[in-house]
Amino acid sequence: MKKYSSVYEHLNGGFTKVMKQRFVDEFSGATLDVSKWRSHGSGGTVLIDQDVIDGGLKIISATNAEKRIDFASANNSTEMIRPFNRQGCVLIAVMKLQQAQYAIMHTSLTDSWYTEGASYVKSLVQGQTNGNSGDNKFRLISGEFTNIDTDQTGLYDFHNHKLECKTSTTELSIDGILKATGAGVPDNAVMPTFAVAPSEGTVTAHGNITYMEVYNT
Amino acid sequence: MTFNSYHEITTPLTTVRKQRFVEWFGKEITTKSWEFFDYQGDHDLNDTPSIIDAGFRIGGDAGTTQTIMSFDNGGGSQYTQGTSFNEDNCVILWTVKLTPQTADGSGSHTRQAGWGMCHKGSQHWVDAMKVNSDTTSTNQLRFYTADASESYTDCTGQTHTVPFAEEFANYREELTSSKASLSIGGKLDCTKTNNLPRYTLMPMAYTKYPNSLLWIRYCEAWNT
Repeated sequence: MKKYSSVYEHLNGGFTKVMKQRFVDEFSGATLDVSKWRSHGSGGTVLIDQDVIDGGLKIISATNAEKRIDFASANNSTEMIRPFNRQGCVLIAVMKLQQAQYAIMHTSLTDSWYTEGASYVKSLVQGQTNGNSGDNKFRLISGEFTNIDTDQTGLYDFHNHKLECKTSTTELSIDGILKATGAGVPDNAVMPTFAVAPSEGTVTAHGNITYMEVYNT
Repeated sequence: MTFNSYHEITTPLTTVRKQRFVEWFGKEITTKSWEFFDYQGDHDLNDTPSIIDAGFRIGGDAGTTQTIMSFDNGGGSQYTQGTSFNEDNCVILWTVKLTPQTADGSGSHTRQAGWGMCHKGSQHWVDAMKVNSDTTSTNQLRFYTADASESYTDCTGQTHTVPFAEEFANYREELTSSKASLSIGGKLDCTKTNNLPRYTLMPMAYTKYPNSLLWIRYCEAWNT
């Protein structure tokens, strides 16, 4: 193995290649880095987990609203930072759904802070709800193609989620294994998100994330 | 060999990555990471000077109190905020040096600093692991561990005294369930098996006494 003297060279094989946009957050420290992230959603909490090994960042929703972090500085469509290529980018997230029932957790590449109005691809973990499609599944979700349920097990464990937007398809790999391919990509440049939400309006959904990396390919 | 992702430099995608923290100390300490706990409230320096390879530096308090840099300022309800590192399986790297802050501090024993991990951000002497400098007689660098109380072993290298620490060096401190070990400059220096920390940990560095000046260029911690 060649020993490079810089992180840059490890990622690019030298200096002849001009590196594209990359973002890394380890979610370690005293607080969420609010120079990068903004949180949205009524109620709930977003904080570095306290006194928990491999806790990372903890997000807890209110019982009636999604709680999320992303690059949108406010709840409007004009103040979003979307540096990632909808047809050539990768998102890697290490995350875990903590709430066992009536909760979902997801990471996404999206063109809007507002889920209902967005064009996005999501790696979504869905707990046990009231018999809804996708219960107890790891799912590749998008408005651009039909949702795909995977055979991934270990619903309430940490997993490595990798979303890759290619020219016209999106791939979801979990723990290094390709699990689903969707026939579409978002409509515009994208930003990353991490979010939890109650599915039935009766619980506070709880998820943890210990790593996120996004880069253009 | 190159890697597609920063993740893969340390961990393949087939492995679920554990908690890791990296601080480069390039411009200013990032607000997301560090808090100061200043016992006396008058430590006179924490900055990133315009000096090549200086990193970040912390000056000592007047008197004999301490200035501690960790993830928690000790003043709020989140007293152990960010202690995501495993007391039974973790490593921390520090690239640091300790110099006198003023001319009259040179050669004296009235400067002290430490670098390691602790459970409560304002207490590096309970549930902790650290390298620090003796101030009593021998100028010896020491490797401490603490549960409810702390103990130390002297660093074994002949040059591992406080003057040695005046040059930047790499300090690697590792904890397992049965042992703490310290490597300096890539070589195992000493180990301890008693007074190992009981609770989860966060990175910590501190200075004590007004002549102390700790320079920190790099810190990385991870669960193994």
